Formats: sequence, structure tokens, C-alpha cells
Amino acid sequence: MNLSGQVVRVFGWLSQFFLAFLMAGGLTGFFELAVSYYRMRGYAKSLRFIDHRRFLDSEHIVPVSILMAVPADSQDAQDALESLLALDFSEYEIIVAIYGGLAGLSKPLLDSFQLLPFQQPYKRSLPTGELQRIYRSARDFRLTVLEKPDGDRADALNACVNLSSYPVVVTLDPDAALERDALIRIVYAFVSDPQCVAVCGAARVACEEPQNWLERRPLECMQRTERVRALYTSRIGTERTGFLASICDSFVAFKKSAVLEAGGFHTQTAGEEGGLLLDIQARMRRNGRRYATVFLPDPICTVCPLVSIREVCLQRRCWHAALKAALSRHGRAAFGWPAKQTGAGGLLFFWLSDIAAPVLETLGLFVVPAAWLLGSVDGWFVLLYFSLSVLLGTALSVSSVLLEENIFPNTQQTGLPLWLFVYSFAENLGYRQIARACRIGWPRDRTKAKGKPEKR
Amino acid sequence: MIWLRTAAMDLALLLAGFLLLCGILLSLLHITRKVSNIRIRNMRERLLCLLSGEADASRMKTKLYEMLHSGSGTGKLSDVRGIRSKRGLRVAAETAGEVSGEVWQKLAAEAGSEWYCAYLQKKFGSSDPETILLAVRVAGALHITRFTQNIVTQIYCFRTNAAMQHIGMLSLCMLGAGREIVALCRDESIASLLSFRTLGEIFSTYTGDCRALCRKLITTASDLYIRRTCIKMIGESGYSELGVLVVPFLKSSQLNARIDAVRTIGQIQERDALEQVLPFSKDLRWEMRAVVATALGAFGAAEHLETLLGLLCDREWWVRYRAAQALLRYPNRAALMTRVEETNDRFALEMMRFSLDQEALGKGGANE
Repeated sequence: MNLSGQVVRVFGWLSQFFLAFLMAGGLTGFFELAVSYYRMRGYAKSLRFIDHRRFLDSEHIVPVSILMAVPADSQDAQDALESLLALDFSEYEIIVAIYGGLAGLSKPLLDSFQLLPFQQPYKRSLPTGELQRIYRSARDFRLTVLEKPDGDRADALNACVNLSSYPVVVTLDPDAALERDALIRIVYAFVSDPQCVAVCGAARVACEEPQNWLERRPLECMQRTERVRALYTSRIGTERTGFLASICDSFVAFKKSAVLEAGGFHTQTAGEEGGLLLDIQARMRRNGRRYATVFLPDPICTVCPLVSIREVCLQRRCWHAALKAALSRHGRAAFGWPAKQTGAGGLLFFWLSDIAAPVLETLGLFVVPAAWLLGSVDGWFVLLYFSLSVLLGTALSVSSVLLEENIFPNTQQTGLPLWLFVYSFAENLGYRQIARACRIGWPRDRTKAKGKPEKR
Repeated sequence: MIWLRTAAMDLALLLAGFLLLCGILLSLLHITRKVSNIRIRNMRERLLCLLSGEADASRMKTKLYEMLHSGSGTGKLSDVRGIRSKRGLRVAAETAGEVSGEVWQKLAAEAGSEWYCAYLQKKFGSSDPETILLAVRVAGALHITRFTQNIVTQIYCFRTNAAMQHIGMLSLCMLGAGREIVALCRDESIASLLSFRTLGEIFSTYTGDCRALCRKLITTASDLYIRRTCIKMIGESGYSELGVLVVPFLKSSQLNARIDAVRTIGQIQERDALEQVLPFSKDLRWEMRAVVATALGAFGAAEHLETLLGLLCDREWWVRYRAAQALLRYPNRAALMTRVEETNDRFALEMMRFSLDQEALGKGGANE
């Protein structure tokens, strides 16, 4: 057989492999969805017995410190703080670190919260750069704002931890909004299980139901569908293995003592919380201590959708780099033998599903048409491959949306599931492929990737 | 690889069918949402209930609220379709926690009727732990005392189930069943799966004589968590006559029990135990020193100024903070600041200033 014949044959085999891979990936997704459904039903049942709202006005609840690191140029802080100060919870404080700018606090922020410079001694439990100034709000006693011109997000969060007074700390991005009863749900996990060191959950993308067919919100709906699918086909399944989400798209609550023992947040491109969570788990395992991490599936946190596909790509690359960094640092746990540690299975799963799969999926998009051009496969095969790709993706998205609706019905926007159904098709006709392809390789400019994309 | 292609084809057809079905279903729900025809609305409601249990629970709750808010004498629990079901039990328990006053009484009266109690009785004999848990919760939330013994039996039957320990004890507290709680707490396997805070919350719902319950439990409970909960309740509720029962815990081998005892002694100002508390200001554990600072502040900052100044110069941040908070009770601020300056401890002075500023900020008279 000559060389061209061999190439044609190789392409033929590769096409078959990519079709098999596509089917295996899709069926794995359905399997995980089934696991999620089973677990979610169990979770929904547990909510029936325990009335966590009982703790709302209770003095036996654990007080919480909410920590927020806000870049100096961000405009989101004011709205975020207003919403946080209105949460339904008896005892909490908010510590905000404005970092990375010499301009200081903006006048609207100073005025609206009546921030006053304050001499506050604090325990330097974690090493951080110098704080330029500490402000306390005369309008609301629970608010503390730190001015920190140098350092990055991790440094700012560590400074917040140093100033926090309560045993549970929740880190939050300024573009994320918590539901009014979010804190009680988070804290109940710590109250009910003294071994719990971290609670994390996935944020949903805020998406309004279009009023008519002319008012289109494709990117919003697609981002929402994408996150819901990721939640049910990946995150909840891997929780079982002890490895929590990559955390870039989530909120996390930590037991403060565990944060201090692990040495606080470390500088990385994104997902500092995810890195810390892995550090805490690794430390606990090393010391042979019993611990628990909880994944909270409730829709209690929403983030604003991004406005353009370019920003979506930028964010995905940034998250992917963070996940790669975290997996590289703790990678030995995935391949160590004997893998006694919990979390090893989850690490391995993330290696396969988040690192290897996007590469293979993207390669398949090029190799199968190339095989057709070379005459290795016929046109029907290519059609079958692309149809199956769209149908599998859409079916997974639709199933995830229906599962979400089944467990947490949206009583405000009853027509939203239909829109999400429609956009699930659209999502698999380009958006998903682009978002997956963005995950290949590292961000070219790390400083650029660090910057937050613009939010709507 | 014909089989691969055939399998892919079959899978594609299956998925297409599934998506078509979902599309039709969602479109139907979308189109009918603004239709006013009652028959179509009922059909839509049934379809929604079929899709989501939550939707059914929501429907039931709406009906229950309508029944409860209808005029006196009208509306019965039996009018709510599905209330005698597992989902109905959940809705009844949730609603009981949400309503109060006359509405709650109406619900309790309805749930206490023979018609509903016969159903509850049947559910207590169920083999499904979830159903039993819900029945226990309803009986507790609606104070149906005739099921007290059933609840005790279920707690013993499911002694390794944390949810049953939680809901069972909570229900007994709501029913004010002190005798049964004391008897249960003698058994070391009961309530052993509950956290300290959960126990605190459970006992805070007790509807009987809390003082009497604390008096019995603090001496008879087998679990230290329960005894500590009683110590905490004595301090927070100010049961000063029970202070003598707390004092022996100052000699406990458990640090947390000693800490709780010191805190409570401060809260109820048990002066007879003061001499035993003072040496703890030099304890090796900073947690204890911090609690002693708060307790001494409660006894009187002026009376224990020297000890508190010593604690204000402690090497541990939290001890300094608690000491400064305690010193805020000192009547003469100027004299206090002079004494603090005389310590020549920068950190102590910083902490005292911070506490004064914080107090001013809390009162709304913030100064820069």
C-alpha cells in the first residue's frame, strides 16, 4: 500500500475513533446526569426533614464573614455591597479589599456607605502586603473596607481573612449576587456537620425570560444552559469522589481555621478558592484528619452574563489555566498508587474531561471533514457525526435544564425552560464548540487573562 | 465498523425523539400558561405536577393557605387534595412553621382531628423512614401530644439515624415532653450524632419549663454535649439559681466544658465561684483566657481592673480584644486610658483605642 493509501486508512480509523469517543463522552454525560438526578432527589428529600430556616433568627448559628476582593477599577462594588447588606441572616460582617490601584476608594463608595478611616489592630495570621488604610462604615456597622494598592486578588483575600472575626468565611466576586437566604443554607452545612471544612456551590447565570420572539437573549441563555449542564454532568458527580469543582465559577465558604492552617490563598491566574480548597484537602489527608466538603446545588448565587463571545472565550481560557495549575500542583494524587486519598478519582476525572476531552472534541471537528475530503469516509458519516454531536449536546443541555426545573422550579419565570430549550440547540451549533476550543493551550498574556471581562 | 455506525444512528434517532417530546411538552406548557379556561388550567396544573413534585407541593400549599384563611368554620383539611400523602405531610409541616396565631391554631385543630390523626397513626407504623420522619415532624410542629410515645419509640428504633435524632428530639421539645427527653438523654446513643449548635437550637424550642429541664439534664444526661448545652442555656437565660450545678464543671477534664462553665458563671454572676475563675486568667490556653476576660467584665471591670489590664497585655490578639471589650464597662474612661498608657504596651493601647472607636461607631457617633 502506498503512503496516500495509508493516510486515507489512518483518517478512516481516526474518524471511527472520534465517533466512538463522541458517543462514549455523551453516554458518560447521561450517566453522570443520572447520578446527579439520584443525588439531587436525595438532597431534595433531606430538605424536607430539616427546616434550616429555623436557624435564621437563632443565636446558635455560626456567624459569617463575607470576603470580597475588588479590583480598584471595578464598578460593581457598590451594587454588590448593597445587595449583601440586605441578606437574611442574623450575624455577619462584610470585608471588602479594594486592591491594585493607587487612586483609592471612589467617592460614591465613600459617600454612600459613609466610610471613615479607622485605626483597627488585627491579627496577622496570614502574611500579606501592607494595608494602606482601613475604613469602617458609619452607615452599617457590619461593613469594613480595606485599601490595598499593591498585591493581587489572593493577597487581598488573605488581608480580608486577617481582619475577619467569625469562624466561617465566604469568598465572593463583586459580580456575584447571593439570594437573601443563601447564608443560612451555606452555614447550615457547617452546623450539621462539625467536620465540614468547606462548602461550595455553582453560580447560575442571571437570565431573564424574553417577552417575545423578537427580544432575543442568545448569549445569556446559552451561558445559563452551559453552566447548568456543567453542574449536573460534571460537578455533582465528581463531588462523590471528594474533589469539588474547579471553583472558578462558584462561591466557596471555608472554615477559617482550615484556611489559616493551609496558609491562605495562593497567587494564581484565577480560581484562588479552588487552589486553597485543594491545599486544605491535601493537608487534611496528609495529617490523617477526618474532614468533609459539601457541594451545595441550590441556586443561591447568580452572576451577570458576559456580553460577547470574545469575553466568554477569555474567561474560559482563564479558568482552564487555573484548573491546569491546580491539577498540576496536586496531580500526583490522581496517579498515586495506592490511591487512598479521596479526591484522586475526581482529579483523574478532571484530567480526562476538562483537559483531554476538549482537545479530542476539537480535533474531531477537523479530522472527520478532512477524512471525507480524503475519501476515507462518506458524506453520510460526516452528517451522522455532526448530527450526533449536536443532538447529544442538546439532549444533555435540555435534560439538565429539566432536572434543574424539577428540583428547583422557577416560579417567577415559568416560560424560561422553553427558551432555554430553544437556545440549547443554538448553543450546540457553534457556541459550545468555540467554548471548548478556547480551553486548548494557556492564555497568551497572563496579565490580560487576569483582568475581569466586562459584565452586563 | 458497521455496528458503530448503526449504534450511532440508533442513538441519534433516540435523542431526536426525546428532544421532540420535550419540545412538544414545553411548548404546550408555554402556550397554555395564559389560557383562562378552567379545564385547560387544571390540565396544565396536572401536567406540571407530573413533571415536578415541587410544583405539586406548591399547589397543595396554596390550597392549604386558602383553607386556613377562609372564614371560621369553613374549609377543612380534607378539602386539600393529596394532604394525606407523603408530600402532604411535608406541606403540613412546612406550613406549620410558617404560620402563627389563629391560623396556626386552626391548622393544629384540623391536624388533630380524627380524620388526619388516623392517617398519622398509620404512617408511624410505616416501614419507610422518610415517611416516619415527616410524621414525627408534623406531630411536633402542630403539637399533637397524643403521638409523644410514638415519637419516643421511633427515636429508639432509629437510634443511628441522625435525621431521626434531630427531628425526634426537636418534636419532643416542641411538645414540651420533658420527662421523655430526660429519659432519652440518659441513653448515651441518643443525640450522640447531633452537633453542639444543633442541640442548642433543639433545646431552645422547648415549650415546657426550661429551668426544670436544665436542672435535670445537667446532672443526668450521659452526653457531654447535652450537659454543655444546659450550661449554655443557664447562662443565656440567666437561671442564676442553677449556678451551683455549673460550678463543678470548672474542674472538668474537658477544656470546652470548663470554658462554657466560666462563661456561664460570668453571665449569671455566680460570685461564689469567682475565686475558682480567677486562676484561669493565667491558663495556658488562650481560649480560656479570652473567656475569663469576658466573665470578669461581667462581674465588674472596676473590681477586676488589674487582672483585665494584665489580660489586655496578653500576647494573643483575641485575649486582648476580649479584655478591651470587658474594660469598656469601666465607668471612668479617662482614668482607664491613663492606666492603659501606664502599661507601656503599644498593642494594649491600640486595642483599647480600637474598642472605644468601635463602640462609638456602633452608637452612631463615629469619630475619625
